[in-house]
Amino acid sequence: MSEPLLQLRDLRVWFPIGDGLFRAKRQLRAVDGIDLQVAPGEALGIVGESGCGKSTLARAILRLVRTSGGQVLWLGRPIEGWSTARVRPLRRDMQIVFQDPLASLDPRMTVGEIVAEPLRVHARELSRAERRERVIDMLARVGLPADVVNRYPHEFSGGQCQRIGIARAMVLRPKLLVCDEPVSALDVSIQAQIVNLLQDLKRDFGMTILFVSHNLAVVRRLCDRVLVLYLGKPMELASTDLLYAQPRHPYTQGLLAAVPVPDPDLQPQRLGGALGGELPSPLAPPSGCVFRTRCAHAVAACAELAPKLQSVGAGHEVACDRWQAIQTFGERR
Amino acid sequence: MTDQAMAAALPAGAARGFWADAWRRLRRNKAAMVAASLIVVIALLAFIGPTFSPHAFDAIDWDHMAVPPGGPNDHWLGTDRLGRDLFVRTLVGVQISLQIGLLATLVSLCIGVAFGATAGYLGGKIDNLMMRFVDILYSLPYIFIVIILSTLFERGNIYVLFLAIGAVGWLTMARIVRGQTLSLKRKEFIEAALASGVGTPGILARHIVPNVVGPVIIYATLTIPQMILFESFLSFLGLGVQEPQASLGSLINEGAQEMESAVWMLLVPAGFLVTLLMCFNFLGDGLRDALDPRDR
Amino acid sequence: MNASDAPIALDIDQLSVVFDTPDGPLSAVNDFSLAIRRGECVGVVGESGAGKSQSFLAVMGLLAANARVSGQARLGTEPLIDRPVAELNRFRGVKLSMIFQDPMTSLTPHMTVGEQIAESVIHHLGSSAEAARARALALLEQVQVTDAPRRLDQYPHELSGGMRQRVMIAIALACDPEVLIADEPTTALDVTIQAQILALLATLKRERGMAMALITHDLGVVAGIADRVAVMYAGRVVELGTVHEVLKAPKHPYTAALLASMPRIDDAGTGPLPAIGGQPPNPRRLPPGCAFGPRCAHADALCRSEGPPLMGSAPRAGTRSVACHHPVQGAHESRETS
Repeated sequence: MSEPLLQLRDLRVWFPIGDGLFRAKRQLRAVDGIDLQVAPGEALGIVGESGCGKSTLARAILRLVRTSGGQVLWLGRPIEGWSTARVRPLRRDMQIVFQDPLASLDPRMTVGEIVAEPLRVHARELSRAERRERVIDMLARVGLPADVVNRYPHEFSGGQCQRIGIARAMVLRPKLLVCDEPVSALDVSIQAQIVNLLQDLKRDFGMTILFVSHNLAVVRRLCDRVLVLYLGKPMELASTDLLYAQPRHPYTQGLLAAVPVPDPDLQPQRLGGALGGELPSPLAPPSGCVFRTRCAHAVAACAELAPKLQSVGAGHEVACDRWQAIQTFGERR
Repeated sequence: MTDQAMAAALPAGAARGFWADAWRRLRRNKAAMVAASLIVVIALLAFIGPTFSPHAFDAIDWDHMAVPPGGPNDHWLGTDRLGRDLFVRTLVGVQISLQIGLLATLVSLCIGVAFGATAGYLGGKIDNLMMRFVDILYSLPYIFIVIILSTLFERGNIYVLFLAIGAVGWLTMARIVRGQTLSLKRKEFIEAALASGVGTPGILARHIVPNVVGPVIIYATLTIPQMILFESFLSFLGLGVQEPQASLGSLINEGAQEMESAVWMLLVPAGFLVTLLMCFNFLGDGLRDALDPRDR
Repeated sequence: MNASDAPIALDIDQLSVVFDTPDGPLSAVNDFSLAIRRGECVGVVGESGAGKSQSFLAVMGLLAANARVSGQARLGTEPLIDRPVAELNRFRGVKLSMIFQDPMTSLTPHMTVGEQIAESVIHHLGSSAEAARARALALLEQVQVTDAPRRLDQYPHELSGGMRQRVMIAIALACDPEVLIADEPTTALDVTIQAQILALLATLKRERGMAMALITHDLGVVAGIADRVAVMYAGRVVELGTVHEVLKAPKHPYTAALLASMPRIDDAGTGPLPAIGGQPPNPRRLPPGCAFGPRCAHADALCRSEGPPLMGSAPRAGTRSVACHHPVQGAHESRETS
C-alpha cells in the first residue's frame, strides 16, 4: 500500500470543564485514543451518535481544535504540535464542508468573494481575472451558474448554499476533504443531490474524503470504510460491505437495527429490537468498555479492561473482547 | 440534476444585498424617515441659515436687547440679554452641538470597535485584562476627568472637548462590539475562514467588523444624542464652550437664567435640542429594526 | 389492525392557512383534509415548507397572530377553528394533545418534571396535589422513564434528550387524550433513542386506542408505526393511502421519486442516487398548475396549467387518493438489497 495520507496514533482530545479558581478540573474526553490510517483516494465514514466525538475528531485532524495527546501524521509528518503559522500552508490541502450550509457562509460577502477567499490566502500569485475564472469554474462543477457570484448567501436555498460551501472547499483542489454532517440539515429530496455531487467530485478530483455523519444510510452509499465511535472511543472499523452485512460490535449492531427503513413490512418488527438505555455522561464514562452499560452481552470482565481494536478478519477490526461469543447478522450458531 | 433546473430556481431580479434590503425596510418606517429628513433639514439650516441673516453671531445690537421673536431689525427669533441675534446664535449652537456629537461619536466608534472586536475575538486572558480595564474606566467619574482635562488645556478648546467626550464614550461601544464578536466567533463561517487559513487580522477585518457594523451603526446613532446632551450638560455647567461661542447647552444655560422674563431665550435653543434628540432616537430605532438580521 | 369503521376522532375539512406578511400573503396550507379514526395513526409526511406542522398548529389554535385560517377541524363534534381560547382550553391538553420536536424548549426550565405533569392534571381534572403527583409517577412509568420516583423532582436540564421527550409524552397523556399530535417527535434525537421513542409511541397507541397524527419528514419513521400516510407538498396533500399502498406502490411522482432517492441502510448499491432535480418550491412564488411540475419527469402541458385535485374514494376517511394528472402505475421496483 502506498504511504497513508493521514495517520492518527492514539489521538486524544480532552476538554477541561469548569474553569473556576480551584485546581480540580474534570476532563471531557471527547476523543479518547484513536488509531487510524487513511489511504489516499479513499472515502472513510466516521459514524456515531451525539457525544461520540466525531466532529471533534474531524476538527482535530484539521488542527481547528487543539489535541491533548497522541499524534496526527500528515504525509508522514507529525503536525499536532505545529504552530498556527506553520500549519497554514497545509490548509490548502485539507478543507472542510460544514453541517449548516447558511451559517458557514459569511452573510456580508458575495458568493464570489466567499469562494475566492481560499485563493486569496494560498494563491496570491493569481490575478483578479484568474481568480474569478477559477471561482466560476468551480461553481460550474458544483452545478451553479456564473451569475451567482454577485449574489448573497441568504438568497439561496439550503442545498444551493451547501454547493457554495463545497465549491469553496474544493477551489484549491485539496487532497483531503472533511465533510462534517454535510447533508443533515438538508431536505431529504436535496440530500441525494449533494451525495451525488460528492461522488462526482471524488471521481473527478480523486481527493480523500472523511465523511462524518450520524446518517448510516448515506455513509453506506458514499464510503469505502467506516469507523464507528462511541463516547470518544473506536468500536468498530471495517470496510463498508463487512460493517453493514456482518457487524461484530454490539453497538454497531444496535445502531444498524435502529435506523428506520421505509418498508412497512420490515420496519414494525425492527422497532422491537431497539437498543435500550441512555448514553452515559461523557464526563463520567463507564470504566473498562464504555459501551458495557447498554450492552446485552456485558460480563464482569468488561468493566475492568477497555478493549482495543482487534482484527476479526481481513479489513475488519472490533473493540470488543467477547466478539467471538456474539452472533452477527445472518449468522447461525 | 440539470443546469436548467438549477437556474430556474435562482432568485429573480437584481442581487439584493444586505444594505439594499435594510434601506428598503428603513424606507417603510415613516417615523424614521421623517426623523432623518428633519435632521438633514436642521443641519442644512444650521450651516447655511446664518448667511441669510444680516447679523453675526456675536454682534451686539445695543438698541434691541432682550427682544422677543418677530422683533424689529430682522431679529426673527428675538435677541438675548446682550442683544445678540438668537436665530443666528441658535443655529451656530446647533452647528457646534452637531459637530461635537458626530465627531465624538466617531472617535468612540473607532476606539470602541477596535478594542471590543480584539478583546472578544482573542478571548481568554487578554479579553479579561482588556475588559477589566474598561470596567475600571467605567467606574471613574467622567465629570472629574473632563474637569481635569479642561483645566490642563485651555478652557473652551473645542478639540479638548471632542477628545474628552469621545474618550469616555467608547466604553459602552467596546462592550457592545465585544458581545457581538463573542457570538460571531462561534459561527461556522468564522471556522470556515480559519480552515481556509485566514489569519487573525484578516478574520477581524474581513469577517468580524463587517458583521458588527449593523449594531455599531444603531448604537452610534443612539450615541449622538447622548454626546450632544453631555456636551450641553458641560456647557450648562460652564465647562463647555466659552463666550462668545455658543452651543445649545450654553444657550440653554443663559436662557434658564432669563426664564421668567424672557422665556424665548430658553425655548428656542431647548426646542432645537429636544427636536434633534428625538429625531436621532427615532432614526436609531428605525435603523435597529431595519438592520436586525432576521432569518428568512 | 385498526377497525376502519372506528369513530372519527379528528376531522379536518378543507383547512387553509395564509399568513399576512409585510411582503404579501403567504399561503402555507391549502385545502388540507384528513380524518383520523380512533386507534389509527396517520403519518403526515413532507419536507420543510410542505405545511404539515402549520396544519396541525392551526388545529390546535397555536398559529402566529398574522395567520388567517379557513376551513374547519372537528374534535368529535366540537369545532376547533376560530374558537375562543377559553373554550379551546377545555380540549387542549385534555382530549387533544400535542408533542413537539425540541423537548428542551418545550419544557419549562424552572419547574420540576413532576410539577409540569401534575400541572395539567390539577388544572384540567381538578385533582389534589397528592393525587396529581401519584398520577405523574404512574405516567412516568408508563413512558418507561427509569428511576421514576427520583425523576419527579428533577429539572428538565438534568435529563437527557430522550428522557425529556418521554416527559413531554407523559404531559401530553396526563388527561387521557383521544387525539395525540406528534410534530417531528424524534427528529432531534439520536437514532437509537429515536427507535426507543417510536416503539413507545406504538405501544401507547395500541394500549390506549388513541388517534395519532405523526408529522415527520422521515419515511422510515412512518413505516414503523403509521397505518395510513398523507404526503404533503407545497401546502397540499398529494397522496393519501394505507402505509403499504403509499410506500410500496406510490402513485404520485413525488412520493415515488422521494422513495427512490432516499439512501437505505439495507441497500448495498454504490452508484449515484436517482435524485429529484430542482429545489423545493418557494411558497410565495408557486409555479402555475401542479406545484411539483417543474421537478417532475412526467409533467406535460396539462400539469403546467392546471393544478390537479386530490382524487380518490372519499379522500378524507377513505383509503386511496392522489393529486396527479398522470399517476405512476405499478409497484415501485425493488432495489438490490443485502
